[in-house]
Amino acid sequence: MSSTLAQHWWAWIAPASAQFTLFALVVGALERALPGRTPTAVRSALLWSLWTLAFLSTGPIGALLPASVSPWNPLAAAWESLRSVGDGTDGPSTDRSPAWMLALAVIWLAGVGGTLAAWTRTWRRERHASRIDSRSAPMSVRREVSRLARELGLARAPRVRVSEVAKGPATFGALTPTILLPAEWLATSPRLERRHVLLHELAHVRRRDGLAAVAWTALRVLFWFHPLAHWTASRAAVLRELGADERAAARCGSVAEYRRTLLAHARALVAPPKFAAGFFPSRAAIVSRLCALERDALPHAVASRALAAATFVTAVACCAPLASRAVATPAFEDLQGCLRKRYAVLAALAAERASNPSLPESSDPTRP
Amino acid sequence: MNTTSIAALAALCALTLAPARQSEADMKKMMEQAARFTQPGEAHKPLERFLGEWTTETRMFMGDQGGPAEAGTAKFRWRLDGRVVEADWAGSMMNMPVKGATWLGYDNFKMSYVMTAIHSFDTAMAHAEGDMTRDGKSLLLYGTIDEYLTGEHDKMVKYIWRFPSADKMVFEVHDLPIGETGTKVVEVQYTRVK
Repeated sequence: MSSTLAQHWWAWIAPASAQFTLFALVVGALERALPGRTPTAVRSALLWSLWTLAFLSTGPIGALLPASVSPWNPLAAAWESLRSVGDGTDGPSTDRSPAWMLALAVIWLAGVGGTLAAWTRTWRRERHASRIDSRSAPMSVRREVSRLARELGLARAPRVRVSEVAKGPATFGALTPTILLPAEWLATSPRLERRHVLLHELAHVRRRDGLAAVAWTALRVLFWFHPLAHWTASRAAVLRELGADERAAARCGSVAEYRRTLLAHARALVAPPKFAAGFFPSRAAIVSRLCALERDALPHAVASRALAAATFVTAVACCAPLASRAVATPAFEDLQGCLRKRYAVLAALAAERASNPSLPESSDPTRP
Repeated sequence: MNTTSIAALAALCALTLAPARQSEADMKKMMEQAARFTQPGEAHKPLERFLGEWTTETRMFMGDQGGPAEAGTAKFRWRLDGRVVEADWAGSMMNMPVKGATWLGYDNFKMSYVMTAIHSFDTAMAHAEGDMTRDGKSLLLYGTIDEYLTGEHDKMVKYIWRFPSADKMVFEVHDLPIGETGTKVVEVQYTRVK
C-alpha cells in the first residue's frame, strides 16, 4: 500500500514541481515586466493564476475534478486505486516503487508536517497575543472603525482590540478578522494618521486578505521544498499590502497625505507578525509601497478589477492545456496486455495515415 | 358386439390415446417452458436504466494512469419487444474516431446477462455474459477475444458496467491476462442527456 501511494505521490509531485517552476518563472517575469502604472489587481491576478494552476490542474484539488475538467489527474488515479482495493474489482499496480521514491515521499511528508507545525505554532502564538494579551478598544475607536468600515463597503465592522505588547497595527484572522492596535501608538498618533492606518487595516478586511494569506500558506506547505513557492507567496503578500494601500489612499481623499503617513512609519521598520497584515511594513515591501503611491491618480477600481479578471482567465487558459500533455505513455514493449498493444498499433496506423494521405484506405482500419 | 370385441376395442383406444395424452402433457410442459424462456421477464427490467441518450468521456489506460478524456455520444433503445437494449455509439479513442454498436440482453435459459459488441476498430464481434452484483450497482460480464497481433485466441476480457446513479454510468474493459490488478484498459463515463 505504501509503495503504491509513493508511486502515485511521485507521479504527482515530480511533474507538478516542474510545471510550477515553469509557471512561476513565466508569471514572475511577466509580473515584473508590467509597467509601473499597472494596477495592483492585475499583478495579483497573475500570481493567483499561478496558484490556481498549481492546485487545480495538478494538485490535490485537481484530483476531485471530473476528467473533462482536469484531464491529467494522477491523484484521481490514486483515489480510484485506493477505492477499488476494498471492492476487489481493480487495484494498484503490484510493482514495488524504488526505495528512493519511498524515502523521498517520507521526507516530503515530514516536511509538510514540520512546515504545518511551524505555521500553526506561529498562528497560535499570534492568536494568543491578539486575544489574551489585549483588551477591547475604547468606544470612540470602535465608533471610528465602524464609520470607516461603512465607507469601505463592509457590512460589519471587525473587532478592534488594543495591545500593550503589539509592535504595530495589524489585522489577524481569516474568517473573523480582528484589528489589533498598539496602546502606545493609539495614545500618541495624530488623528489623520490613525484614520490612514485604520483605512489600511479595514482595506485588508474588505479584500479578505486573511483568506488569501491562508491560501498562499497552503501552497508553501505543500511545496515547502520549492524556493519559488516561497518567493511567489512573499510577492503575493507585498501585493496585498499594495492593494490595501490603493484602497485606503482612494478613501483618504489625498494620496500624497497617505504616502506621507507611510513614509513617516518607514523609519520604524519593525517586523509584523507572520499572519498579520501589518501597516508597519517590512523592509522589502516599503520601497514598493512608496513607489506605487508616487502617482497622484489611482487606477479606476472597476476597470482594475475587470482587467484583473481578464488577466486571470487568460493566464489560466493559456497554461492549462500544458497539463493535459503530461501523461507519459509507456513504451510499446512495456505495455501490458494485448488490448493496450492493439490500441497503440491502431494509433500508429492512424498517425501514419494522417501523415501520408496517399496511402490506400484499406491500410487504415481505424477509418470509420 | 360381444364383450371380447368391446374389450379389444377399448384396449386399442387406450393404446392409441395414451401416447396422445402423453404428448399433450409434454407439449403443455414445453409450451410453458417456451413461454418462460422466450419472453422478457423480471431480469430484463434492470436494462431499462440504459435507455436514452448519453454523452460519453472515454479514457484509455495504457499504464496505471488514464489518458485525457475524449468526448462521444451514445443512444440506447429497446429492440425486439423489450428483449435487447441496442446501443449506437460514437466518439474517439486515442484521437482516432470510432463508432460501434452494442447489444445487451438477458438470456432466460442461461440465467445470465449477455452482451455482443462490435466497433469500427475491428471486424470481430465480442461476446460476453455475466451477472449483476447483489447490490445491483454493477454488471460484470466475462468474454473472450482473439488477438490478431499475436495469433492468440480466446483471451479473457472482463467488462464492468457501474451504475453510480440514475444519470451516470461507467463502462470498463479489463484485459485479464495482464494480472490480478491494473487490468483496466478502457473507461467510458456516461452522463445522461436531459
